[in-house]
Amino acid sequence: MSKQVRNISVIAHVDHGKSTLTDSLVGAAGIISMESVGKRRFTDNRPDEIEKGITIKSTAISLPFTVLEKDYLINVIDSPGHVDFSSEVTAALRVTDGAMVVVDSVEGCRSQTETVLRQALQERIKPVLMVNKLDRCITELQFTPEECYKNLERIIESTNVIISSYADGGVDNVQVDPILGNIAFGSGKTGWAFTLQTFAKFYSEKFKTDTDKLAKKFWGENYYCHERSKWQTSPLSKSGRLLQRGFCEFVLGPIYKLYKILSESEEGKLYENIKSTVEKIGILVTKEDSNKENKVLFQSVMMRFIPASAAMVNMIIEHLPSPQTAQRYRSSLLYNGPLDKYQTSISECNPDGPLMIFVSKMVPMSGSGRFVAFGRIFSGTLRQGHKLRILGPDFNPNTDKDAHNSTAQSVMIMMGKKMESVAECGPGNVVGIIGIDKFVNKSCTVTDESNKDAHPIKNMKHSVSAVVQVAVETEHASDAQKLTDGLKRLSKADSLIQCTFNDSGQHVIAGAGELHLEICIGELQGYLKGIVIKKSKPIVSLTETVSSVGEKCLAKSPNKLNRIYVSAEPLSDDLVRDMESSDINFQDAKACAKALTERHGWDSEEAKRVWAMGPDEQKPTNVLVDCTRGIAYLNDVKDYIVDAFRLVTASGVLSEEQTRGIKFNVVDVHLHNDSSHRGALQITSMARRALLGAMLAARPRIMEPIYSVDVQTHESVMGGIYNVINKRRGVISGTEQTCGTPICVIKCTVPVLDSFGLTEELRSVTSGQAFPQLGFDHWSVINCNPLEDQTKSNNLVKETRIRKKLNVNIPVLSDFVDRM
Amino acid sequence: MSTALSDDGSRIIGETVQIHDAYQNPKHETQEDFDDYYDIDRTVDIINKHGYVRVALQFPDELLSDSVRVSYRLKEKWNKLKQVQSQPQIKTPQIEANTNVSDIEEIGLSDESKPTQTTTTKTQTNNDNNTLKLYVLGDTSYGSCCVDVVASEHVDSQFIVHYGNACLQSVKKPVYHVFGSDQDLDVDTCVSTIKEYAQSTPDIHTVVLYQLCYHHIIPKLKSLIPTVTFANVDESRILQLTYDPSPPVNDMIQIGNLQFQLPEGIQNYKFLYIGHDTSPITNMMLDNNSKTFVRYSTDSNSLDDGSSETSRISRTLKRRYYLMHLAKEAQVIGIVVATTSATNYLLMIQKVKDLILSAGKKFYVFFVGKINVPKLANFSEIDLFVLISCPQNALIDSKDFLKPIVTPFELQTALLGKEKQWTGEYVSDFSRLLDSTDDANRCDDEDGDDYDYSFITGGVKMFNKAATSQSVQEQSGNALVSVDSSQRQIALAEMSPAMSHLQNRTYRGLDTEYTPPVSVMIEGRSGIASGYQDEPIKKN
Repeated sequence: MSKQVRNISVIAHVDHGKSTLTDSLVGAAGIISMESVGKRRFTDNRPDEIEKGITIKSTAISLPFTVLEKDYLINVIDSPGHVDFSSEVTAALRVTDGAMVVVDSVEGCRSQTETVLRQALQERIKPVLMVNKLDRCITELQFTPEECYKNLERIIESTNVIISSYADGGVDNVQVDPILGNIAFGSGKTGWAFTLQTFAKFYSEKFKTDTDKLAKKFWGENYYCHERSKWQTSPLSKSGRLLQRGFCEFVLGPIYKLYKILSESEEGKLYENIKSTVEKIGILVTKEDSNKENKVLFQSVMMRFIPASAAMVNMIIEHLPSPQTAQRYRSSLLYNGPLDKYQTSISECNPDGPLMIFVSKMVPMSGSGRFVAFGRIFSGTLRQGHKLRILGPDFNPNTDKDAHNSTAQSVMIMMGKKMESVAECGPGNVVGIIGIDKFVNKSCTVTDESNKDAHPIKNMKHSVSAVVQVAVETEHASDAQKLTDGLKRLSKADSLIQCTFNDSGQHVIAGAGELHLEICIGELQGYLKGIVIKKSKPIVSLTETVSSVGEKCLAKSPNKLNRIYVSAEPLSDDLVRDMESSDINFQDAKACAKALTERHGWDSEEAKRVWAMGPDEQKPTNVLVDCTRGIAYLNDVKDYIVDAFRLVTASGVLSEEQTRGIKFNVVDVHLHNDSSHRGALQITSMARRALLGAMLAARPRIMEPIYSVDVQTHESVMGGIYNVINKRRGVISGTEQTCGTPICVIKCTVPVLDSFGLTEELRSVTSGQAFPQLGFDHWSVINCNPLEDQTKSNNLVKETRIRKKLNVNIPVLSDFVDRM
Repeated sequence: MSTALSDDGSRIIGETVQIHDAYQNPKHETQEDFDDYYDIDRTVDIINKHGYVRVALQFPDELLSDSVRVSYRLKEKWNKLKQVQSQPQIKTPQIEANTNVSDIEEIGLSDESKPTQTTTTKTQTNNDNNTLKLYVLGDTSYGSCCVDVVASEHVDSQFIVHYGNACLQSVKKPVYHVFGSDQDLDVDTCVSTIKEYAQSTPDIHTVVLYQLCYHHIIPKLKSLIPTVTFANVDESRILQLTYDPSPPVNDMIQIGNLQFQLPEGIQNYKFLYIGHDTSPITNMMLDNNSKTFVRYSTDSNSLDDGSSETSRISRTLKRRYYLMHLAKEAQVIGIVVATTSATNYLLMIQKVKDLILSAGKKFYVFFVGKINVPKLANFSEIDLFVLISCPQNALIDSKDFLKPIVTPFELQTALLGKEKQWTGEYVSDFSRLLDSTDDANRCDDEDGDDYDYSFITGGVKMFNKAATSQSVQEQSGNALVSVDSSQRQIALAEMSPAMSHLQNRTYRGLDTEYTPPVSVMIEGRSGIASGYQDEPIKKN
């Protein structure tokens, strides 16, 4: 059975036509009428999605198809293309095995195309390519068939460049090639699409050639010489006439012809004009069709001629793997443990093996406050009433932390747009589980209750991080509890959003960008009917760092009986990046020391004496190193100093923001003989002051997050865009022009701090012709001294201090450091 | 926080005590004003009537400067009274001798002298019942509103006169509260303002609350405005001669240290508070945060719309709500006892202990005297402190403290899972928690475990493991660490918080495996350190 299942996600850059193409599939499965295909956008069913015309939440739908007398079930997940919602894409990719990458034939591969494709390849998801909006090349840009071919060739080439740079070798044949048939071309809006095979089938009788052979002739330097009735590779015929490329003549030819008829027909006359032409290719137009508008008639003709759904369904079934095939090479990447029975069972997709489900998303059930846990069965069979063991993201097999037991009240599968309860469901399927929502936040691994030794499936890695925050609170304190409930729901349903409390009782929501937060707050408002939410202006998290090797600083304990000397210095960007991506992992001290010496040129002695990395153990950005020799009792108090390090790295000296890229060296320590004089209070407060002092002494700096921005626009309005970007401290790194079109892409970086309202401003200066994409890129030091009055960073620090209700004045060295 | 931790103790010595401006100048033009303010005549009457001769005078910091004058006046009056009573005996010289400063002891500054002082007092009393001994108590251990019974025990006083703002808890010693009577209230303006306010929303009844220093003026206002309700002090608490911990049996509504009774049929009411700008009404507002509050400021003799107060209360409530969430997550809870006079505080400690145990958490009891940051910072393993104190000092804005400090109400709300239905009600007086009987209705999910999303750590967590009923056993009040079997079971069954704390440490004390070689006992030196017996006797 599972051989006839395909789990695929539709991924692309924003506005490249994912949802419209999904409509074609939905229509072909008979769930919506064919007439509404291309307009309805079935998967965008939220009011905010309809209003903004973009997909926000990914939507899953199961579609039954019969191909070559075999029944197939295709589970399609339509994902959002906007970068702010790329966490939805991550969640969709995890539960699918194949991806249909949609690329706009005019715009080509864009930043988000690359991001989602990279994510797919990292998950070992096999891609197929769908080049969409081909009609725009024909009607809007008026490309000749040859120009059109060149354009398509270029798109395929750039896609393959991305694929080859991110493919990890675990999957074979991930390159896309029209001859293989894993590239389709078409127009989602008009409902047509084809692969080379589609046309090869048409012509195989005429040429009396095998379809596969013929398909090869339809791409590349292949020309058909009618005079010799032969295929040749040179574009000159026997008589020296210039020949049309096979693709242009036989594939694009008929399509261009039909479009030509459309453009030449007056409204209402299309029926007569097109009748004879299409009847030749076996499409009957009836009297009923004659009353239709040109556009509608044309669409119905194209849909009968080369239906998009057929091309896509064939491509999906033929070129995307079944769960069984895919899990064989995905299992080692999925399972977070040794090669045990669980991993074996995942790789075999064994219905009788132990249950392993990864829940990638929590979907709110309409009407009730509950959620359906939406996930993929990788192994075993899930039955109704199944006793389950739920492993949360903090699960540790040694301590049994974050493991809960529960029961699957019911098992749902999607049939069309409806969820239907089933008695059991086997591996390879995407299921909804009801009854475990209480235990799950965002994602989890589900297994049998008895599988105490099972390791969890690896958690998803998001490509975006939550850098923009907004504080929300209710007007009246008595509504605070309702707000809390709403945020709980929000946090469950969105896999990226982070909801926390700050200590004045305000809730802080952190998201990927402005749009993300806007949508989330809208949703929150929906949960809290009628309660007024006050929200703050967006707050950007800053980080603190140091810019030079500082003097060592002395601090004494409150009782004056202990002394510590600490110095601070900056870490290299590479090292911080490695630490953050856990390439250098402090859990394994030996490997960590090795990596530090080999990759980052640390002294081997020093590398062995790293005491701690912090503040966040999962994504540390700072290091504490012991540079002392033979200090008595130092081991007794090490923990207290590490505690102080965590405190300081979590809230730095300038504005109590996290610190980043600082190496703290404990240079010397004097401790009192009597342990009662070197208690936690004495040592922690002493070390804390010394660390803060060391930061101040090493020329502290503020770092701000930077967005990389791609603005797609018309070349005539580029000047205005440059102005806006420059005004917002942006740096333009280059522009790319799509050949043959006036469309170009400006690539630049803009500080997040100055990015609020950027989209609107760009739209207004270009009268709606600019489409920016913003995504977090990196942290960058603001190169001015925050300790000097009136500098940019000084103002930022003061603002933050006021917001946090701290003393406005930045502390000075003498606040922390003692004299001998 | 930096100042809080880097304290070396010198700060507290040199600290200037914050005294509210309003208190600084109860200017007493004449001797009569002064006597009136401190209610000297009535005090002397009471002392005389009950034959007390050792009396402690407890002053809050802001009135401490007047303490000497008060004691002089009391003594003078008392002596005059005695003279009148026993006409023939004229002891003028003794009066002068007794009004010497030497017998006015400031307790708290010279602890060593106390025993001797007490003995001298005793001898004096034995010798002469006609001498009044007055002791000034300053720098009160907890809040100046509470009667400091322990300090008064140090001087073996028979009677305490408490000055200033009071929480009016019943205590185990006879006590007389003098609130001080401020005269700066402009009665006419006040009356017209109250009337105007009451009529602004005629369908909502007005209840007038007041700062205790206007207690004397309330009867007058009452007679002038009969349409509104005036809160009042429980008169039996002003002069307490016997210890009566049971709450007053009446149907009065308690608010802070005041109480009032609504006229029949009134449900909806609002508050008007008469007092100085700086006087604390936070507690009253917190407990009644759904009601409207305005303040009649006696400094400007005008109405202050209370909007700044209201928004502050709203902020405070949100912060307290946040603290409830922290309380829910805490594994190890420190019970800090910061009262010895509040009614039923021992019962409350017991209740809090039971509450914590039934939630499957661990507790330690601390008694640290006056709370400050360094003291509590010594216990780094404690996740959260719950403060048992008189309601007026219950809210500690704990941002300075390393660990949050909550009130028993907040702890109860959090541990019983009621914060999920919290709608803003607040109880700062823990004695009202004691009578509430609803702790049985723990708001749990069907299966007894309570899972929830944690905003502190950002994940789903299991909270408040419901303990079986046997595990909630009687705890003996004298052990710091409870070691009953149920707790041990928890420790064995899974990681106890203490175990995980220990595990996270790299230094775990001396190696318990190591046993040093047993050596034979030898006889040491004997004698005292200035010259052991085996040392040669020093000359000179």
